[in-house]
Amino acid sequence: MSSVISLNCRYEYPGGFELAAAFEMGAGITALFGPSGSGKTTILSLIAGLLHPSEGTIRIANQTVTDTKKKVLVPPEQRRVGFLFQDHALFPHLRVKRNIEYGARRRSSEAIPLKSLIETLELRDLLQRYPGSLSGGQQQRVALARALASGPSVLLLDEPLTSVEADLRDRIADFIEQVVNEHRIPVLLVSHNRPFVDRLASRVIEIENGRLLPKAD
Amino acid sequence: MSAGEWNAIQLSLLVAATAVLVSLPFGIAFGWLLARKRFPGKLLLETLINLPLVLPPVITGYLLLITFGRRGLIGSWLESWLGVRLIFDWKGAALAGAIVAFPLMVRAIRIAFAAVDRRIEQAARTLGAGPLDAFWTVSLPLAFHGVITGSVLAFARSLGEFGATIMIAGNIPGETQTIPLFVYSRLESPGGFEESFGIIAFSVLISAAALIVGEWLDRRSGNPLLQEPRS
Repeated sequence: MSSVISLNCRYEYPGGFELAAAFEMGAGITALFGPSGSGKTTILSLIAGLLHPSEGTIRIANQTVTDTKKKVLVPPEQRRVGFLFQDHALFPHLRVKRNIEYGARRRSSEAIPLKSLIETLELRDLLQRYPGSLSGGQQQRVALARALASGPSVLLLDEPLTSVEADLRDRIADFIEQVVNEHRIPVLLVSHNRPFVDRLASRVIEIENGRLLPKAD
Repeated sequence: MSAGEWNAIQLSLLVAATAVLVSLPFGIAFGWLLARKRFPGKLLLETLINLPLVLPPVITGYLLLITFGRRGLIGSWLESWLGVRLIFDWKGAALAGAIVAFPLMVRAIRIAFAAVDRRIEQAARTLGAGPLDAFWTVSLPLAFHGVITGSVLAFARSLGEFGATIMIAGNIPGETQTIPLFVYSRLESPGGFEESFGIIAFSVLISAAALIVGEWLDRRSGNPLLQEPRS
């Protein structure tokens, strides 16, 4: 398996809790599955460069982005990682169109065409709206488009169903499947929803209390 | 209104506007720093910034005088290298206004930055924005209402500054005599109480107008997004 992400890290939380994880993931959708507080979001933040590990290395698409021994710490903006935050984290002061364009403008060379994303995620009618006026499902689609529009080499999805209305969850899963297949982007998905994970992921890594469970494949 | 009154009004507006414009970049920088960063000596920096809020303005003026006076550490340097003199000059009055109003400005801006969701700033970083880019395009626009509130409060405070101003700039009619100094001088003369009504009323009007404009701008820049109906 040619690995898209290779991670071997230890992270100490301020309260004394410790996360220690080592795994590799390749193409397709990989899921990190475990209960709340097990360290799933922390792993995504470490990969994106939003948190720094106490010790360890992280490689993304054959580039070392974190190596504590060699003091390598590539900043988040240079990692080419698309991050879908649990609460969407859309820019409330920008219209939907500007939200989606934000990453694309900064990484224009390898960005996915906006037109295709807007069509796939059915965003045409929302482009002139502000995020505050959108429903949870609509915000999720905008956040997904924004993350993809920056042309990431890997997509990190943090609990993508959390702030979505129950009746829209299947549709969001459809959208994720569709854009991932269309644009062939490897995905690391974090969720504590087993049916959702089983439906989307080709590989599941289980995590509990800051440790990966053995033989998770 | 007399020529003296108009002079005092114009000078006050110039002094207060200069005080705000000069201190605003520092206010934004310190507001952000105090809201977002932990560093050794943070408490000391906070104390220094807030000191003019609790010090008697005359004491603040005295400290400014010995620092920015012709023999002061900074004042002598400013005069010999840049040819800038602050003592007994309207620029000194602007400095006094800026220093005294600075805590109010920083406080409002700091609160606004602290209220910006860090996740939104992090999202900008993952989308390719460097720290400065994320600051200009996300943090600052989202904290802009605090910048406006801080500026208006600082403007209104500078407009009314008396103690520190008289220490560093004196009370020279037409040159450093701002509205409070003009009123003070007039009240000391016979019949000054009645004659001061006009300028006092004008002073109240300017201050109230500044606060109203600030509130209006704050509402406009704050949440135009929340006013659209949810679908």
